[in-house]
Amino acid sequence: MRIIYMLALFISFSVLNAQTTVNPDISVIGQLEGNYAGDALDLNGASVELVFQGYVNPFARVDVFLHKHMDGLPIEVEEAVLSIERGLPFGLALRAGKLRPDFGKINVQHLHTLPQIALPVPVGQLLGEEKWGASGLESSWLLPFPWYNNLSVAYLQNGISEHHHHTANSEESEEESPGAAISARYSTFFDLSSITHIETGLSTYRLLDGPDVNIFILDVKYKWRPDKYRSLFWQTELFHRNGYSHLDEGLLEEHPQINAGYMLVNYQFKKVWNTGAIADYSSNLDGAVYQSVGLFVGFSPAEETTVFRLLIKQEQHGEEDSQLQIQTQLLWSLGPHKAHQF
Amino acid sequence: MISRILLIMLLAVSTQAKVNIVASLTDLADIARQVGGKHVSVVSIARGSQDPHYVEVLPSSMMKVKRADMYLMVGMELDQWAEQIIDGSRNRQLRIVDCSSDIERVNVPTRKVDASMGDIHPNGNPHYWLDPENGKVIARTIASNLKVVDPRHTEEYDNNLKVFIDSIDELEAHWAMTYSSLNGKSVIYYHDTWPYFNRYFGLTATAFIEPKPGIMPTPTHLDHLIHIINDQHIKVIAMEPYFSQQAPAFLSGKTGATIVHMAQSVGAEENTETYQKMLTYNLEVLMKALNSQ
Repeated sequence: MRIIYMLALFISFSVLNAQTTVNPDISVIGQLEGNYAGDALDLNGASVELVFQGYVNPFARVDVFLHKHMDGLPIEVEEAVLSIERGLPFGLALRAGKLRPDFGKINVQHLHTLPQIALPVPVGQLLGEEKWGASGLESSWLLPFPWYNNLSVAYLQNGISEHHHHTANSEESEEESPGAAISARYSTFFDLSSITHIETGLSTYRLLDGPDVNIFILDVKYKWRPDKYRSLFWQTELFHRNGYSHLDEGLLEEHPQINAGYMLVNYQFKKVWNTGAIADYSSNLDGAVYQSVGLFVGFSPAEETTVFRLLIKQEQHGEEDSQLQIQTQLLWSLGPHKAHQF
Repeated sequence: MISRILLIMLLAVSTQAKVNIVASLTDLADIARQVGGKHVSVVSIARGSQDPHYVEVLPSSMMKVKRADMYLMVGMELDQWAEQIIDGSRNRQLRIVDCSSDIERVNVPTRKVDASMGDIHPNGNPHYWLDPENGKVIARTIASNLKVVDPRHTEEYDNNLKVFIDSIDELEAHWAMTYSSLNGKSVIYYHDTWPYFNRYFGLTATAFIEPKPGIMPTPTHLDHLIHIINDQHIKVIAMEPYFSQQAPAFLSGKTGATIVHMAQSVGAEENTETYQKMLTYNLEVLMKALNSQ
């Protein structure tokens, strides 16, 4: 706790000593989702994300992401992070604040940067509906190899919330907010050629306070981009979760193990058109096997400032009847739009 | 004895150490190579045939910058992606050089810029390296920064700078004689990449295939362009290698105008391996297309 207080003090000092007349980059990303499952059409998936980004001094940057669902709930601070990337020795970097740690691939990717509409179901199940984010610290080290090798270690005040995922046939249960957790990810990146690249990562998570819960993730991303009109990327994450709770009198209750994963393939075949497929699997979603396959198409008439997406998904959960879901999404962004990291 | 050997090895390494330079574009890289000579090692992030507006932020690019002493940015918000690469490099000692710092800017918007104008640059058109006079300005900027990073070779950098500027001066005299007939000619360009080039060589951009910067051509806009080409007897449609040939081919088919593949950067086409060759190549292909009709 002392470390967090000291860091908060440092952040306040950095920010207060960086008052200038320069405004940060401000952007707004809005979306409207339409969801058809079974025989009901739902248009309540509207939300807005407000983003503030800028340098507070020559070494540190602040990124703030505020999220508001149009459902009566208050504004949520998705991320509010101070990053020191070029101010530390030995290739170290530090992030502090409310952050999404470098844990798996998709946890740090904002959903609008992915070609499909919804988060893969295993990600929602194992990392949370809004993915895993909490207050804490993350340090990363660019290892001294000739090619890219990064090791990130994070300590967060709250681990991943335990909750059940929405499917077409299930309702979300109440969330529990667990105690502190640590995570780590080792990733490596290779240029296979000037237009093809591959990144792999291995992540681990452990809950420090409460039941013993461990999550392991293997992630792979491959991308081929010969020109600005064509690209292909493939992204896969495989998850394994195990754990047990401490009962009275030294007894242990084992949690059901979960093996899950998703595979996403996206092909951009014109400057403004892309299409692809996504497959999800979980060995244990609310006590039953879950699997789904979806096809999607996207249209971006003006770079990435306006996007229309359509997803058709067939999902099967345990013995329940399979469900056909059709989702549409209109996405727009206002203001500066930074390049997306690989 | 061991300490002496280590000292000799250290001295040997330090005397041979080159200044590591990473540049956003191949043009800046080539000029740095010519000004730095044997004392620099230079790589670029974007390929010559790549659209400089959209370059992916790759971890491998961060590794290049991690080992660099100096980063050459285009600036004027063209290579905004470079900031993320530089941050990701964790390089505390890096000297960041904005090569646009001494450039006389053109097409600076005079009113509030917003996305209704397309992908417009609020600080002016950033394709300034396509004017040979600006090539000299870039070379001076690079030389002055090299002298700060590596003061031991100041004299050589000054000499190399002089050689570079002389080579451009010679070419300018040659271009003035050989390509003077380009003066006053009108061209349809795909994108507004060429205002500095046009200003120097006396060409006119009559219209663009993009209705607004970064916006795909619409059927109505193409129809409008057909009228312009026919009415004003435009002979050439010029495009960069990274754009789709579909709209230029359609216009060419309807009007008979010749499509010219221009090199917006060093290495974008064959015979454009240096900054000087790239400029000459563009004049050559324009001249050939205009004389073929």
